[in-house]
Amino acid sequence: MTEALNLLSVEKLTKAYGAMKAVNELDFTVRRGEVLGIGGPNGAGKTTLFDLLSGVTPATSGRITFDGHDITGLTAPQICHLGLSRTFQLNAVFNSMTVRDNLRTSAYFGRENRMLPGLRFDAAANASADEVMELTQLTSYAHATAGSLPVLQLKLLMIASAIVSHPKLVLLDEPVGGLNPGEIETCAAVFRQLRDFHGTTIVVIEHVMSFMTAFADRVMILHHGAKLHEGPADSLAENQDVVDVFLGVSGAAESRKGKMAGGQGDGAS
Amino acid sequence: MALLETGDLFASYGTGHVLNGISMTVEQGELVGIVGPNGHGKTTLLRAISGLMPSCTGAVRLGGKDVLGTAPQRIAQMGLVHVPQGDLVYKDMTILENLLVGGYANRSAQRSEAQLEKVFTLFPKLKERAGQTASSLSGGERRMLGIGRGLMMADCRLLMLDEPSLGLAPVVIDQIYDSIDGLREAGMTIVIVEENIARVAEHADRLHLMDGGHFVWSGLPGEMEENKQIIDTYLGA
Repeated sequence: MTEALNLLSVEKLTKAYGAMKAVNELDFTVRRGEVLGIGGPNGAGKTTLFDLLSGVTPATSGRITFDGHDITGLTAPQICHLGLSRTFQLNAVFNSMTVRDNLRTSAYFGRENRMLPGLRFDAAANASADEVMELTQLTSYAHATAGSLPVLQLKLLMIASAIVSHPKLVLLDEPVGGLNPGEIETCAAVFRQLRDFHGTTIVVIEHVMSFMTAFADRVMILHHGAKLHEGPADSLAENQDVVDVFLGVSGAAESRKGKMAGGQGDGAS
Repeated sequence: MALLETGDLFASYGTGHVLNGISMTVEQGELVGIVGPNGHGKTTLLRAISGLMPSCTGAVRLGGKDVLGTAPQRIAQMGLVHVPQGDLVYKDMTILENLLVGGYANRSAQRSEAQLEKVFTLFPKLKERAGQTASSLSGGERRMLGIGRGLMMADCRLLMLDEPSLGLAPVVIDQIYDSIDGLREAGMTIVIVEENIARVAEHADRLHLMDGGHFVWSGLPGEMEENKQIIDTYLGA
């Protein structure tokens, strides 16, 4: 049996808060192995979309199909166990636990249902934690308390927590906001490894356009919960609506620059 | 006399110094940008100036007056506005109430109303949703609200912004920097902490590059090119 080309498909997905539709009859698909970037003005519904996909918030209507399963209405743990995980905009780690314990916890509980959790983590969780610390350059921080980490390492820990369960699809919510170019490159290197060596499919929300255009294969722009634009990353600046509501003049310039950097191989592509 | 002056400022959170002797001046009407890797003291410097760091030695003078050890609310009343990083809005209060809190030191309701108009012009979205609770805002909209709340003080003499562009759509960042230019033309003194050195360099009079609690380079934006090597070493630009 061949696997379906699309790992995720979303049909007429809607989330209403009273009269306000945060996500409004949205249709889109994500192919296996692709990197889809999501942009849009603040309040366009980007994070709400991630909340719906990951089961954090129930949808009002519509359907989400992931890897052949209808996941609409499933709980967040159920969706995570099927292989869809995510990161959050703000700090969402266990602050009082060490880096390694954070990752062991995510590995242990992220992969399958633990009706009767053991008193210690199993060997598989330990191995996954060690492996992902290496991938995210956190090995030297293994015994540091998460709450004491510098910003870059904290971001890397959130990413590591999401990928330690070996998801098929990972949703990244503004993973590089607040980082400088060198730090962004550190994160981009992790994402490239995930994509190229682990075959992980990635959907990423980001406002940093140089990163987005260099890294994403395709970009979807949301506005008022609906699709304003969809196309290759370098098509953004050509759509005047996208420039008006989202990119602005300097964002449009940056999105062109990011594409050039990607072409030269020294960007985040 | 400089509007803001720090002398040999040290600060720590308990283990080791985060600021290692920062001496800087900000002249009236100047825009100073502070850049550098994360975790090297930029936010702590702003906190120390605002009176939010309990263990702090050295000197902080605002308008010639020594304010080190003065309570943060007293320093704020002297005209220092500090817009912090992150998600620090009152989630259960409405957007309008959040903004009015920012004007608590204003001398009259009229002055607050005038400031409110300016904030609503900058962020029309906040006006549309003024009666809703802040918890209904997205992450980026909360950042707008935080900046707007800072701009509510009518008698602001020194505005300190910690990463004003974080989490905002590029078009909104343009608008924020346009309004920063507008405030400067009106004579405001501004200190900005920013990850995006190219962006802040377009607007700043002077830049400081911070690493390990020190300024490792200070100069004019026009001097960045000839010091590219040192800047790239710290920022990986």
